[in-house]
Amino acid sequence: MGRYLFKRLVQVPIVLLVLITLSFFMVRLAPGNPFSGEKKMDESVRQALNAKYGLDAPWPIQYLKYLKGLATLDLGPSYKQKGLTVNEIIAEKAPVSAVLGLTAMILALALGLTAGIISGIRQNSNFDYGSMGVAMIGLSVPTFVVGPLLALVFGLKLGWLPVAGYERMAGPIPYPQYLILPAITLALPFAARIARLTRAGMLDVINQDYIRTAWAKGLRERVIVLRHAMRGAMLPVVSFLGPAVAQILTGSLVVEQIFQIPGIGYEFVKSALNRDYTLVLGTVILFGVLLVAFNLLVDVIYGFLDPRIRYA
Amino acid sequence: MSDPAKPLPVLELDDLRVRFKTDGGMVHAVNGVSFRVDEGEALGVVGESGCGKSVTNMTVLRLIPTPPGEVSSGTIKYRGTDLLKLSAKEIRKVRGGKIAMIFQDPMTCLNPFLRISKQLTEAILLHSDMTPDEARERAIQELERVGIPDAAGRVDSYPHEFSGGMRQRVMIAMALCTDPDLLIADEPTTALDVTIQAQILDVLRRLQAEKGMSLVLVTHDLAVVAGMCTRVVVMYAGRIVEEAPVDDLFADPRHPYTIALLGSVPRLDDPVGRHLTPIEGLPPKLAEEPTSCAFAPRCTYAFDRCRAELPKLEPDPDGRLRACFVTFKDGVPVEPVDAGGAA
Amino acid sequence: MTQASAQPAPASTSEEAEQGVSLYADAWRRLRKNKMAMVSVGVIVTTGLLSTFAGVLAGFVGVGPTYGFRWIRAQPPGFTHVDTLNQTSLILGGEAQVREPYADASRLEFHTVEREVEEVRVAWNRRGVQAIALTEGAKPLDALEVAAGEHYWQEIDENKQALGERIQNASLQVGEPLPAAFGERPRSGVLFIQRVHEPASGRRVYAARLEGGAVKELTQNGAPIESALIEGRIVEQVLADGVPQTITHPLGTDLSGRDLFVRILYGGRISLLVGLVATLVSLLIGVVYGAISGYSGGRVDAFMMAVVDILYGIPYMFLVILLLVNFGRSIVMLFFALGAVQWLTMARIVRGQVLSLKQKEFVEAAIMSGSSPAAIMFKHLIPNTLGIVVVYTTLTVPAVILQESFLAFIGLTVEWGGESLDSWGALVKAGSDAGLSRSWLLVWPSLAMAISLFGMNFLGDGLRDAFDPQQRGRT
Repeated sequence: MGRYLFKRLVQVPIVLLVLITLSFFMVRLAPGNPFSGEKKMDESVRQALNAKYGLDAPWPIQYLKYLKGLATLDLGPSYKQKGLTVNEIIAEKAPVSAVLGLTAMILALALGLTAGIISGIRQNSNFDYGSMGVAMIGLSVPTFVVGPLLALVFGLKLGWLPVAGYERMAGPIPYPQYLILPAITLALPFAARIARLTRAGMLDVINQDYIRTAWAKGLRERVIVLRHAMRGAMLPVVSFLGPAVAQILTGSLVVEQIFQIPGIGYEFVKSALNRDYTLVLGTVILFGVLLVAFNLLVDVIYGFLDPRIRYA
Repeated sequence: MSDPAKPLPVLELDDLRVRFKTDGGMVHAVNGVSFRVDEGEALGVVGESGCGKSVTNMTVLRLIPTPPGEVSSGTIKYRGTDLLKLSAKEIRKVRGGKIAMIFQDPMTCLNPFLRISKQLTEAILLHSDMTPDEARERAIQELERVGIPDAAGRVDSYPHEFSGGMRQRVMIAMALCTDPDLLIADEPTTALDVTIQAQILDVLRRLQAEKGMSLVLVTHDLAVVAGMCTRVVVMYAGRIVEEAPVDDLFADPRHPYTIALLGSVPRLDDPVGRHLTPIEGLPPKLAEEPTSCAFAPRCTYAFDRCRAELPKLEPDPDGRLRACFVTFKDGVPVEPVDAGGAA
Repeated sequence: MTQASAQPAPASTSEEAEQGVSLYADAWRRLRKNKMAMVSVGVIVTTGLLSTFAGVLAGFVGVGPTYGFRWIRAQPPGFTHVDTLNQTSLILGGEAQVREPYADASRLEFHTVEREVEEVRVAWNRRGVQAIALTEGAKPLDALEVAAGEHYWQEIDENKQALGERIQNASLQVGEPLPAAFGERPRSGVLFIQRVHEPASGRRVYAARLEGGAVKELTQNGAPIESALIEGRIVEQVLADGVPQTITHPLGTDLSGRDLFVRILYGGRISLLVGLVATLVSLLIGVVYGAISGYSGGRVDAFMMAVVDILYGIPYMFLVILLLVNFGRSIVMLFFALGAVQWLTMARIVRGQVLSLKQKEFVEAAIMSGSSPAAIMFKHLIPNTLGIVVVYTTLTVPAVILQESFLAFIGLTVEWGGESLDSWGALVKAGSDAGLSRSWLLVWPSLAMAISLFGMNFLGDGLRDAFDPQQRGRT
């Protein structure tokens, strides 16, 4: 376990460095200047702006400066939102996305695990066919289709829930009705995936010899499923959690847009489209760190679940 | 079938039939099997893979998945109670408590995610009134009895930390920690090295004697049976073809399949230069219940009647049971006279 | 399956070959038994054909010939099509007397071609039908030439009308029988002839702004008027901002009056193209990378897989977004960007396969007989990974389509030659922007997309089950 985790830990800075470098130079290599889009800009003003943001220095210097900033967790000023730093914007927007993402994740895990376990132990039952059909729909119908459709039906037609918006109750936490539709939209493909993985894992495990042994001991089905089968069945789900976070992050880009949620995902899309480079960079790095952190967490959970890895 | 003079057998199967629904149609795995296991007895069940011996014994504890499996007739009586008629709750009391089972592959039969201690104590706690601490003590004792060195120190290990032979010892400890009346051992040594096999059989033999329990040993390996059992049942295509005390069977096999099985394994008392004769062909997968002798296509001695009629398991004049139209003496057919010529 | 030709091979070689053949035959047999998978094949083939021949189909559904020939391109905004409206009455402030599909439009434009109505009285006698009188308006005529027009009968006795038919180059004269071109006629009645003056001389453009079916603004050739009675055959241009289904537009039209069905077909073309090409790119990189890594083994393998691991940790979609924003949204760029996201998994799968295949006798035999690494790789290893590669490829296509449509949805539609190519994602985006009152714009593209992806996913699942029955129902 120790060696295994160590190998993973060594990879973390490499992953982050690759990501930072790639995105930094991708932004710098882009034709034009962050301020070239703005009309009627005096050459002297432009030069002043360039100097202010350190854009007049050669790239390697800018790169090193940026890295130095990163080391002190300083992501620099926003180019487009005057007077705000990237840190401030992230601190303002990210918690909202975190609330949404966590809600969606919990929802997806609850839905996916339940459906997957029952489908797995009752293979070829009506429940199995039904939930796997729904899961296939969840996989095939993109988030940005589900979102507007849900808003259309539950928001406009039935009027049960707000179509969009985000009214805060406390800090980043909104009144629950504002969270329901976005969270379901975000959770659905994720839940579908988890359900399928859980079912597959369950099927795999349930046919193992050691489950037969457990039956031969006279244990009840519930005990067999929960104590003997669950862990093995969870392994593929756990390894999916890393990619799932990436999926939730990308999903949040459209879900926040559809439901007008002031989160970091929507902020990223806006900043990418209007070329607020520092903000884009900062967000990408934030997402990268999150992803890496979750992948690491997944490794730890995996080792915790599977003693064969823990002691390897 | 049962002799009124004898005490009630521990296990008695009568006309058991089990079939499976598969994509390719029905498969009749067990077609009218009857046998009994007496108190303290070790019964060997022998046959090639696919002959229905494992299915028969899994059915005893109702471990056959239904569907696709289905018991279409018969009774399985444990001390007079038909196990097939028990409720789900009642059969759970029998499983692991009265009748325990160990399986072929010790590498896959232990749960890799749970500590040995957990896997043992959960059975003990289920079938006794012990406290968790007592159960743990019991588990350690049981591990010691099956010959695990430093049992107290290793009880909290995971299965992957044990070798194959050790794992099979753990399996045996797990099966016996609830003091069952009857142990069904399904190919307990097949997956192990020969030297380990001997050790495991040793453990089994010793514990059977110590605990006075009955044993059903399912195997394809006649050598294993010879050393362990008092009586042997030979199965082919879901039916019993011969049943005899173990020494009689080896000395005087009376069914062509038994003869063929004996011919396909080397024996210590073989004359030098004896050729092993493998049994040609494969046992059939039965889409229908057999109406003639299922072994006839592979049988050296088969004649017309064998292909038209199903031989019943009937006693010879001296009381030995077999299902064949040909009469043998010392492994050679004596009646009908033309039977040998069919070869 | 090619190894049978190889080398002084051990017996197992031909056995392997047989196994190989039967593996594929077996997989095919199992796949055919899977009803959902076969339905999916049908769906995919239909989608593929419809999208490929979108241009031809566009012609069929009557949106004009210019539409079909611009490969890949989205449709030009606003097209005209011909419809016939009789007696369309538009009165400022009143309800627009237009047929159902146009009643919901917010703006209607009628390009009318000037036409005149000649009225001909006819009487029947034994020698044939004779024209008794010809009038144009109120003015009597002796003779009439019609270069092009339509005619219809109205029976006086039974007050029945016959359908109009086209006539060309007909001449009528008082006292003479009618030309044969007028066909069958009733015993007596009135023959109306509408003479069309071509080319459109005296063309008039009526435009009406409608709100909930009521006329809010009315103009003739740009000048405001109070009312208009537009009669006869009309060339109309619908600039309605979307209508739900009509006879000419089975799925309705979009905000620019473009046929939604055709747009979905063209969108499918883009989506499928991106899906296929990007998958192909990922396939090439992934298979070669994975095969080299697995074949080399040892340190090379460890290093190559470490690279894959590291790249796995990167939130790719964000980099793709950066790429598209900063370097233009060319479709070629997208092929590579999305292909680059997908190749990692493919590389891992192929590597795993190659690693286990390397242990097989036929490969060892080939190695020992001195075949070159490239020959071994392309002759023995890669062909034998085909099954799983096919399965994974089938599942990658819908994944890529999803990603592209996701990008299109956040506004990064791909472009080619400066024109935006509207994929399904872009259509869904347009639909979700159009709001509840035009829900068909959201529903149909979504449905098209969902059904296609559904089919592909089911086929991929079915293929996996077919190739690996042990894995039945696994994700």
